Amino acid sequence: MSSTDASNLIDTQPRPATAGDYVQLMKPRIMMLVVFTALAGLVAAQSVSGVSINPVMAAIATLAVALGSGAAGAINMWYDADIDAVMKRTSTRPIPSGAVPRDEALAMGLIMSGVSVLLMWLASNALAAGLLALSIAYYGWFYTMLLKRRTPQNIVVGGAAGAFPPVIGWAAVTGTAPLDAWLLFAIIFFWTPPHFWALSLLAHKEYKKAGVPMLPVTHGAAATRNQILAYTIFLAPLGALPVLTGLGGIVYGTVAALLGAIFLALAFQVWRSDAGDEGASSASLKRAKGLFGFSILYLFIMFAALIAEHGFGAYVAIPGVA
Amino acid sequence: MSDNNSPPQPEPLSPEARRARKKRNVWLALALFAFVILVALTTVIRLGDSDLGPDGGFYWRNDPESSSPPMPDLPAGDEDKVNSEGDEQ
Repeated sequence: MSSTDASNLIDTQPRPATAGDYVQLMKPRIMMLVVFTALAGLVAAQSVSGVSINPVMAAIATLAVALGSGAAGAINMWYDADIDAVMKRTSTRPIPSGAVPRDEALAMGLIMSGVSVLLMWLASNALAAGLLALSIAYYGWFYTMLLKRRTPQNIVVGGAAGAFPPVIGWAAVTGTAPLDAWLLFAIIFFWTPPHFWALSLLAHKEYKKAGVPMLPVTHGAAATRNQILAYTIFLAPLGALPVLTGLGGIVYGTVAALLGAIFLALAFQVWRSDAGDEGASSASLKRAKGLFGFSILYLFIMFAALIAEHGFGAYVAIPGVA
Repeated sequence: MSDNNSPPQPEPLSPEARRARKKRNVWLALALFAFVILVALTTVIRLGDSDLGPDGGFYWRNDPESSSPPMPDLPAGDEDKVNSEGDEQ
């Protein structure tokens, strides 16, 4: 389908927008993960540094992260409306379905960006606000407009956008971004490729139809499965690294080791399968789907362990470690 | 002769579209109100955390005895010069 056909799709059969459409513009599922990881950074920073933040200010800073994530999502949907209209999975989004005009989505994204950065600055400090502004620009402009349609490495480089929240949360408390915060950044950064590529093994025909150069489209399913396994081999020990700096205690260390091993096993199963190939078996597709689902769970539980340790007193240092 | 310069008239909205627009406007008003409240809240908390008492000097220092920084040590031999010239600081 040509881009002209796609734009026709966007304009046909407009329907009145509901509040739900505007919520959808903000990509609420991504927002939940972003807020959760930012909260983990915020909670861990207070415990590790001994600096505390006013609870109301912490709540406003968390809200600012949520708004920033929503703003970046709206800008992404504004720019990608043409390819969203082509892909079945995204064709019901507010812009291609005709509920929200494109310009309105852009205006919403830009206004929310400004509001979120301003609120973050008022609630915390310039570093946290600057990092939030950087992450919005990184996702809304660098990833969406420059990387996504140009290179199969789009989600590798673009993954940094989703990795900023724990650093922002940490900076909101202390005004600094130490090694521990960047370790959390690295975990999300290296988690992103296996997470997205597992999905792209299932939806590569859609990406091909829309002309998005995802790895399975440009290099084939076998290369994608190799990359998924390679990144997971790197991610599993990386996930346990906070234990060495003292950021993670026994609970976090146990969770990281266990989940890392399961992640590796699932990635290995996908690597051995024919998921993404022409005529792939349903069992293989199920494995890729399982890996995608587990990857979301992995990140949630890892950061939940951090919150449990630093926010609910479950931290017990591992003897002999920093 | 018809007036070709008249601005194009917007299409009349259906009752459903009118209701949706009204709802959107209410949400926008609530969002704006929430923003104002949040800015006010952060301002109040920031001011509350600052020491606004006479010794705190958030806007000015009106107690020079307690708020002026300590005098730096002068090099040997300069004390007499300062004392003889009065309160040179």
